[in-house]
Amino acid sequence: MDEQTFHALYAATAKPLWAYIARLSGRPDVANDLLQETYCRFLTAKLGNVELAEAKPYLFRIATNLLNDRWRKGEDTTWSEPPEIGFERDLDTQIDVRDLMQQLKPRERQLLWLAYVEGMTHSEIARSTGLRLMSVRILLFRARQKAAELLGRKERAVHEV
Amino acid sequence: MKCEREQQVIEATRNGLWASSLRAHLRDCALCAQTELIAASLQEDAAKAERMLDLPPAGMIWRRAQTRRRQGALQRATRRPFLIVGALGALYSVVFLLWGIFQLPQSVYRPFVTPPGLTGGVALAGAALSGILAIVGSCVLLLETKR
Repeated sequence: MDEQTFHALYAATAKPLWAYIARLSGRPDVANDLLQETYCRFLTAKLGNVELAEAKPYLFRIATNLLNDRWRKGEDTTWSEPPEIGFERDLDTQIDVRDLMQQLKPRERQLLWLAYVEGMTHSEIARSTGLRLMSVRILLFRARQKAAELLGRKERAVHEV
Repeated sequence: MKCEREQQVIEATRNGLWASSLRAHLRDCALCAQTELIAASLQEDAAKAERMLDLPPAGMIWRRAQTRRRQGALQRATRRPFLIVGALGALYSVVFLLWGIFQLPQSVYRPFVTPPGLTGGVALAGAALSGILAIVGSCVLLLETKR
């Protein structure tokens, strides 16, 4: 891959990838570090010329592995983004999502993000996370139930007020 | 439990293009309504996060990756000569140890080994062999470094 191709790939994928890492780890500083590490690993792997469609799941896979490594070491298991970074507290949706993220397990956050923000299919999620297809279906279903319950509870509370 | 139109709902939430049939379906399908609620919340959050972030320049990451690639290549290139030198060094140590033992007075090493007709010539040959091995090791190291 030459530098120009990399610049184009970076422009197309860096923002969603950063958001993925930041929202999963709850740490923007960690997101900056892991983003750079993800692209460095991608570039040093001998892949030849890869299309954007192939590169994106691969980048998410690298980022997922890096996040999993942190979780295995016991880092970022609780979602702890400081209030002043990344969120405007006065927006209902963001407060909802913040609360939602805090109450979900890392794996649940991961699956929901890939499915509902990146729009990945179950097989693409399986490739990006290293999980089995059946596991993705089951875990995603549970995560989605939990998220819907949490968001629904918030909505009901807002309507009652 | 899964609705066949769930992926369409996610896509529509992503790109904002809602077909009227999909809108109608959303009113009737509790699962898709749930999907829309989650997807919209998370996507809005993602969009806000993306607007606020300050990405490191691509050129910096490219250069860092190039540096790492070169370091990796250098490490791989130097691994083999170091292994060869290590093996030769170990061999040299064994020969040197044997030579040293045979230089001791016979009364010291006789209880441990019984040399078959040890002469000064054998000891000299051992020393010469270890010298040759050291020279060969150095040459290999030099050649590999140049490569």
